[in-house]
Amino acid sequence: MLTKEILQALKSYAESMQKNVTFVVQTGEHSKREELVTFLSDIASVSEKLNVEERDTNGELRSAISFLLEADGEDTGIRFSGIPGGHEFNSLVLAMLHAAGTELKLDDSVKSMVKAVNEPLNFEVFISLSCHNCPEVVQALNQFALINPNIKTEMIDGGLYQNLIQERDIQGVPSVYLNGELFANGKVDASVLINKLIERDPSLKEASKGDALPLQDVTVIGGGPAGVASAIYSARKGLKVAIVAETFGG
Amino acid sequence: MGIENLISVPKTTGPELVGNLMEHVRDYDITLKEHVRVDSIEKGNIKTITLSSGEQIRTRTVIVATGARWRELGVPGEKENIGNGVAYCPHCDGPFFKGKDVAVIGGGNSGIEAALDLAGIVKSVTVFEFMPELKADKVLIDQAQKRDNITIIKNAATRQITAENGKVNAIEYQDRSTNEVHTRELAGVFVQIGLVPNSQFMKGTVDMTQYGEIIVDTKCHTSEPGIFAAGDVTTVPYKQIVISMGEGAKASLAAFEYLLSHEVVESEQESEAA
Repeated sequence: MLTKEILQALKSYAESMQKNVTFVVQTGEHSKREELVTFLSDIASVSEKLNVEERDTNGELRSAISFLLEADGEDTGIRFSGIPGGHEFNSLVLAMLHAAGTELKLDDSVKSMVKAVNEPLNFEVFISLSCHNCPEVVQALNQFALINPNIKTEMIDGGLYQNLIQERDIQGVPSVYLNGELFANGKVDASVLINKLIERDPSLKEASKGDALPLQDVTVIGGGPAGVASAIYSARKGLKVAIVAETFGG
Repeated sequence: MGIENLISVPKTTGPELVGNLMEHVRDYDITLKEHVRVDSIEKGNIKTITLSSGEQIRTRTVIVATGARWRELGVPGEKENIGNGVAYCPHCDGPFFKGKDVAVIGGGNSGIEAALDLAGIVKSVTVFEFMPELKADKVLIDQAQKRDNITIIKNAATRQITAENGKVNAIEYQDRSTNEVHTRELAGVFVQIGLVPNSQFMKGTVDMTQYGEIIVDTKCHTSEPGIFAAGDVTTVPYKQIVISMGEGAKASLAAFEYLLSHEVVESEQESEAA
């Protein structure tokens, strides 16, 4: 399933890993289980810091094709139910690297806000492997989980959990549930998640107030082709530039 | 998703282009504030931008390049059923309607492309076009007419999308030539009726057209000194990636010119901060 080129690329990424990461796969029976274990074992073969372990997690994981990530033996809160190939492959690789200590891609003010969450948040993200908007949501939530031990998140491949899809009546992805209730669906991206968290608990805003930037020459609002072009041109003139964007790419 | 008109890059995709844009940004010392929204902008020699995270950024100039998003129909039952049968991305959500009947609203290029895309997955696609004729390119219309599971209804005004047990079950439309109202039972409605500028947060700060496009001159100046705008959010004609990039470059050069002629007075800066 994984080509030589991909494994080679993974190997070079894995060199920067500071912590050991273990993929803990739930024991049990499932027709796709062997494929999942082979997939994870192939990934783990690129570094001594990566391991696959089959274990009964006592209900922590949904099914025999679910796994979680542990960093140096500690649960990261990141779970996958299904085989994260397709568009979600990057989500798995990033989760693994972030869990191993690579710097997160989130803005400092977002990090401060997520750190301030003081209640247990259990996210479930329903995706399809052909959905190109889904990885952003999965990746944002995975990073939230790494920032704050109160947060757990599970990527669920809707295609492999038809009963659940029917039970929850899901017709569009990504569809995000929080503590068992619908949290966001339809046009969701990372900024929607953050805004919904603020709506839920407005005091989170206070946490990020300390991170003020110095006076900027140019502030670009928007991260699409026009925004990026203006930021780069401004930076080339030696100006002090910031980009504010809900999502990169516009 | 494929992009083949970004000159000098024969073939790319949306996600790939985003990756390349990010990579290019990282070559420079540019501060990134991602996943946050702008709540308001306070005008002045030094402007204060308040973000949805509560954080404030003080800045001498602003370039607004927030682009445009899919336009919504604005009929009852649309917003209420997003994710429950109302969708905007055929590519993402098409597979959820396998074997079902769906509608595409809009007979422009994006609408007909969506219909062709969906026709391979779903049972049937009905395209509703408001005008008496389709606006899509002839090659696309020809392809659509060859498919026996695509029906095209022209001169049709969508009145509402109805749902049962929380799921879309029908669309109600009016034939604009006879004024008769019809209902068509289906499970999904894909809305493909063009773009609307992301400019609401600038309302009252800069002048806009009735469609919400920020009015700019040839140097990307808005009606407010020190605030510039570029790309799909502005009145610049033709929404194209290459055009947006050129506009972005122009806006920053215009901002540079403005900064040269508007020195910061430190005392003013202090008093505004206080």
